[in-house]
Amino acid sequence: MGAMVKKAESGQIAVLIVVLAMLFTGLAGALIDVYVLLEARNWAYQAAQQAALVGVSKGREWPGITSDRGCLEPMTLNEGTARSEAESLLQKEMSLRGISDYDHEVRVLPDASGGSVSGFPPETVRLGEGRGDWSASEPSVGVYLSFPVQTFLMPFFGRPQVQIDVFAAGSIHQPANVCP
Amino acid sequence: MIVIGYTPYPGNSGSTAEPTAQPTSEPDNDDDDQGGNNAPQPTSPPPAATFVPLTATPVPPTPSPVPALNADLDADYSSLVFYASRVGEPPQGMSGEVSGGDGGAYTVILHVRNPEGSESTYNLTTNGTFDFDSGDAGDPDFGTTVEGTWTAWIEASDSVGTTATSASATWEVGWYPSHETP
Repeated sequence: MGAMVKKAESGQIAVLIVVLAMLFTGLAGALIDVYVLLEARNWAYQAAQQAALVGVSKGREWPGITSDRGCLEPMTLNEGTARSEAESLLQKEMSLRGISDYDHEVRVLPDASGGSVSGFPPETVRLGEGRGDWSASEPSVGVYLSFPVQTFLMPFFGRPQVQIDVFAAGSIHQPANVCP
Repeated sequence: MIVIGYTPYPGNSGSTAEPTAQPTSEPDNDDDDQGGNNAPQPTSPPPAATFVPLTATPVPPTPSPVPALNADLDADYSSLVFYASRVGEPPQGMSGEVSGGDGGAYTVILHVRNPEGSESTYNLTTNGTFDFDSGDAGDPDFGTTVEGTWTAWIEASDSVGTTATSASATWEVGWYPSHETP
């Protein structure tokens, strides 16, 4: 009788160990997935932000500043230069990361007073203002980046990949004593 | 016979001049209101000359006037970028003109004051017009190293020490930093 009780208890313990192992495995997988997704999203956001900043920095229309109006000219952006510089940096970053399957979109608001772009960014992003009409009051570059991330646990729920969507923008600050 | 009377000239009442000629023929008696062919012309003494004493006051010789010394200064640009050369933009340049005065070579002192109130001076000589750029200043970012309003002017002197100061030339220096948009 006692031997049978001991055998049943050991079986329960074994089942419990298996359940606990599965639980910890799942928990660990979830933690890993969360980390992977957070790290990927933060990296993607920084890459998009750097691209936007490079776009506005190198797209500045300096020659207009030295025109002879007697006051500081408002800064504008060269749309083509700003876009190509942002895209160039973004491609470099994605190449260094080893990601070739990605989507991106760069939009430029070249005017001194900025402007707005409807329907941009095209997808809801966690950071930024989400999908909708991107607007800025200064010359700006907006960068949208999207790419898939492989996860450990999500395939068990039918989602082998999770799409990362980020949006970042950079602007040019106009000096206080700029021409009206 | 006609006797030509003579009334002494009022201003010459003391004169003793007398007629010096008398008619030498009779007048014609025709009615043509013409004098006879040989009608003597009455001669009367001209009014005696009036002598007005003149006093000449010697006038000292006036030297030819020396034109006033003028100095002008212009800045090549009214707005510039902070540390312009580092973004491929031009630094400031000045052009000036000095005229008048004693002529010849002028001595020029160029004053440049930055927005913080610090002033730099550069000594130049010119025969009239001059240009001053970053190479002359020895600074590739001449006039662009501080944000704000810069001021420059010149003091010009001619060879006799006359001086003139130009109106100020001003320009703005600004920077356009990029920043993240939240």
